[in-house]
Amino acid sequence: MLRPPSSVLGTAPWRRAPLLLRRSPAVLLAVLAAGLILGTAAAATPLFLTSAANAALARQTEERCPPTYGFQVRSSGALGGAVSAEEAERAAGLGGATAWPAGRELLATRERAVRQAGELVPNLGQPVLTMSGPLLQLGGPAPGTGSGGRLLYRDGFEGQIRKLASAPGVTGVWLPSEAAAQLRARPGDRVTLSLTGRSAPVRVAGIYQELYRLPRTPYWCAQAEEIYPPGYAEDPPPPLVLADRATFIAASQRLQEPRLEFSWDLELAKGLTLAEARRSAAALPAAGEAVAAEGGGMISPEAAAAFNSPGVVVTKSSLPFLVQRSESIVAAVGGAIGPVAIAGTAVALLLVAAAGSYWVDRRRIEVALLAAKGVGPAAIAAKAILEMLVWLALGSVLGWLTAIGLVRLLGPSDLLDTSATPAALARTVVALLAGLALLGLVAALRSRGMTERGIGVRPGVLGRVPWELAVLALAALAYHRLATQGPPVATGTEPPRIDLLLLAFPMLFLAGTVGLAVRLLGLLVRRLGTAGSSWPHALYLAARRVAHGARLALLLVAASALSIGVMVYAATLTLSVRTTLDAKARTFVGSDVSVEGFTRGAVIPADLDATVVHRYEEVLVDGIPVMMLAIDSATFARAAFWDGSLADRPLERIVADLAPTSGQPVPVVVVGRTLPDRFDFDLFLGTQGRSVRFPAQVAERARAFPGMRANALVVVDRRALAGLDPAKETLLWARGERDQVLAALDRADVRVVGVVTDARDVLDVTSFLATSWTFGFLQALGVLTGLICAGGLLLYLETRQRGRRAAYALSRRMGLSRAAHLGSLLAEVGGTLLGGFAIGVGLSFVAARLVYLRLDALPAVPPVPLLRTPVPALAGTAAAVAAVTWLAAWMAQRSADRTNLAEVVRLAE
Amino acid sequence: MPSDLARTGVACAGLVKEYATATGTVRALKGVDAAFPAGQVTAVVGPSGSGKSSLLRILACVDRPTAGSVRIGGVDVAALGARGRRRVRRRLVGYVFQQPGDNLLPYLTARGQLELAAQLRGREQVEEEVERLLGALGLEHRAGHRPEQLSGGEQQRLAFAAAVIGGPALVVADEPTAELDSEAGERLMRAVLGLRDQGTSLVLSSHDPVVTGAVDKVVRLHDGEVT
Repeated sequence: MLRPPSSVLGTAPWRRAPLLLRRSPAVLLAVLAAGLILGTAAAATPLFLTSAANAALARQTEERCPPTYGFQVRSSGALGGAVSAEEAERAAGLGGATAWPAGRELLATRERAVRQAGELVPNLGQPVLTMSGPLLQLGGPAPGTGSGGRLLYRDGFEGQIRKLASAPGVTGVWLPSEAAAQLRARPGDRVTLSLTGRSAPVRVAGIYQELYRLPRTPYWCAQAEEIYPPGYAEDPPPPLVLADRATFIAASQRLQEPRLEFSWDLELAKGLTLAEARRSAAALPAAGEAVAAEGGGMISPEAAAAFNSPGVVVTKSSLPFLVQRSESIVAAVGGAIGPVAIAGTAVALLLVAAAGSYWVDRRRIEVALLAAKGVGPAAIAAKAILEMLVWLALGSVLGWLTAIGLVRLLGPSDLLDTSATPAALARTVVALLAGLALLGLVAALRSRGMTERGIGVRPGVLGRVPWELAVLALAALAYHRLATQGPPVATGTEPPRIDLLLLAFPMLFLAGTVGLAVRLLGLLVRRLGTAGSSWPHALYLAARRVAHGARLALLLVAASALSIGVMVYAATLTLSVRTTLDAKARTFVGSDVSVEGFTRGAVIPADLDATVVHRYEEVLVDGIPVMMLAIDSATFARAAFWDGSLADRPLERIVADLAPTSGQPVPVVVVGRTLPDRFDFDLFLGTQGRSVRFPAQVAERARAFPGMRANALVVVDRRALAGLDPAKETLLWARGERDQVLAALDRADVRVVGVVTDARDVLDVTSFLATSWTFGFLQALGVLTGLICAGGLLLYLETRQRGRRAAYALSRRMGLSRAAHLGSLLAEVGGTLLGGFAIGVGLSFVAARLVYLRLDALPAVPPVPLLRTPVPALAGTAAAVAAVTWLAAWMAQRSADRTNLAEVVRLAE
Repeated sequence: MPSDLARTGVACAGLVKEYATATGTVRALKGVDAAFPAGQVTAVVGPSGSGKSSLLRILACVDRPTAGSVRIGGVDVAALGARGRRRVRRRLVGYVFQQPGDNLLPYLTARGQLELAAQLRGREQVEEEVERLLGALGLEHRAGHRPEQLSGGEQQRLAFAAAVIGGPALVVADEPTAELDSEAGERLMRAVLGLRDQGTSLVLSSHDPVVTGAVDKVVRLHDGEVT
């Protein structure tokens, strides 16, 4: 009885297929590895994006005071007395209540309102209340002692101060040590708070260290304006008299303070994902409304403009902004890496296809037998899929897990959204289905080739078409658009966005040039088949093998060159962008740290690389204002930032040439503007109200110089201006960390009273996250393709293993030593990979050199983009190439060593 | 179609087969005209490189000729499409590879191999035929063994059984005795002749005098031509 062909699928080879791959461990491992890489590539994008989103949020919150991105409720008004008619009228005009309770009841009402409002917002903590009063007078226990001060209460403050002395059991106020000394007050004493003729005696509960003399802590950051006002180092702020809640209320009521300020800080939970933060941000408006509705006289936040009115509530949170900015960063990253990730998945699918081909090779007998029995390609494809389904799926799931682990470990943040992992799994499943379809297709085509196409098919016309030229033409088009469309990295309120062309161009360029290089290499490789008769055995064998399998060898060269090229290109641009940003920041600041305002005539400590620089704004050259720096040539070179790209000569030599000579024009360095070799400049003398003219001689023309801004800069040795007193700004530039510099200055009794600028804080690093993450992802893609390439190499060697074993056995019989054979393997694999390495590295440098100038996110800030060689990445790649070469050769040699000589020779004969 | 084959046998005319290689085109068959009568054993003989394997692969529809025709049961299989040729391979032709191990699936027992071969021909309820063939080829005591547990001769007899089961009109075997010792070769030939006696047409290629001495007809090939 005849049955339809579909019934083939019910026979033993298909029924037992899911278990059959266990009989071929090499294929099983290849499929597993292919699945792992496919799963990793497919799952990486959503995971990376969510990691980037969470990191973008985290980086921004790190830079901010926690309450500012939580929920802040502020109001003002009195705690005591009835509502005045004026207040009631004003409140009514703003749509609020016209009567509200006073004192503790008022606070309780408002706190309840704030707490209830906070509960509407997910992930908000409990409110922390701060109450502060106006400046008042402090009277000490001894007659004639007094001080100004400000009464302040904040929930939990007693655990956040450094207590110097206290009176056990006494409740009252805590005085800062300097105020206490001035009042001659000790713990347990009674001091008097006075305001507009009223006074309130309070006991001193303890004495604490002034907050402005201690390192900043997140707890006090919301009070930074009171603790660290501008110039606080030279002019300390009014002492903060910290009172417990009861004391604060009682004293305020007694003083009848009309304008107390109330602030409730509700901090956002730490370690939130962007999705969680988004939900919190969305609930903030409702919370603001709720506060106004229930707030005991507090009025709608829309009336923020009327904040001076008592009772008006102002709610604040920068969370919506942070969320929006994080989303912009992620959009910038996602727009760039999306297509790149698809390309990466496509490359991983190639490895799956190679695994499918490998399956056919290892199951050649079975496939040929079934095909000879009339089994069609579709049924063979089904068998291949059934055999590899479990293992490819297992590998893909492992790849998904690997991607989660890698992103957590190496990604921008280890925090992933709960929705990201299922989304990544969904992508993995889609990629798996595509992989299975590809496996089936490859198996079908290869099986068809075993029966219907015959052997020895002539290479097709497509193989001779120089497709690389078309790819190169596309690369040229991409480059042309890059060059004509303006800066590829946009600036503005949005974070810089990587233009897709910046990623497409190198891909196309590398693919085209690698293809062309390999095609040319092919001409050379074929000659290897007849060359080298006088070479050592190892090289001779290696050359013959490469020439014999030229197509595969060239494919490996191309694959390794592409993967290495992509990785080195990404690493080069990543390093260059970081170096450029760093150079821009340091050029702007002048060095690592710039201190403005410090003890005049201070002696710079010897253990600090520091220099003093005078900056003059009122300098004219031909009536045009320029900026001038007067430097100390003895210390400038070791303290100022310098990069070889800023000028043609080392800084030491430039500075040495600035030494003034009496009666000669002042030697100057000019930057940023074309000035003649000799010119005069007018320097305004602030104290005398006149200008003095100097002739100048250009000693050096620099492309950029430390301390420069966008306008032109003239640099002179400060000795050239000796005896004059022009209007100037004195800066101290130093190398090192901000805290180290300040500590060194403190040790040398140099008192810092002005602004301290750290180069690391100058640029908004958040703005460049998208750029660095995009290239980081591209780098990871390069590593992934490198792994794929290594996997392909091992499959290639394994596929040819049978022929190699026979050749090895015969060669050994002819007297070839084991060492020479291993040497030939090393030469073959190493030569192939080294060729790929050289081509990939060389071409990636060319691509990076062509585009790096386009990566200037801040063109207004010098210097222009710098190009840097990623030495660690290159060294790591070279080490990986060496390791893969050794591993592959060792495995092949190990397999050859296990050859049964008699069996192989019999087969060969 | 089988009845046609029983009447007309297999014939090829003007058969040409060319292979493209790196060094140029190789002409393996140069216009072969030959007939392979139904119900007989025909041996294709000739030195190495004479085109025997190419001819047999084309007869078995495993490969396509560059030119010429192959008529099996009156149908020109060279003109059929891939699907049609697969049908011919499934229903009408059994092919036996030279290496005994290449004809068997390593994970199936001898009985399993025959059942699979029958199922691929679209046959069900083949237990009796399986037992009969195993007995006819002296393999009844090896029915539960896998190929690795069989000798080369046993493997090749089993391969013939798998090629014959389901009643194909033509069995093509490429040097079936090349891997066997003389005793195993003789035993295989006895089995082959037994199959012929049951009405199967067989075409074998061989160098072996044991084979050429036992067949009904010999086709001699030299350098791609019939001599």
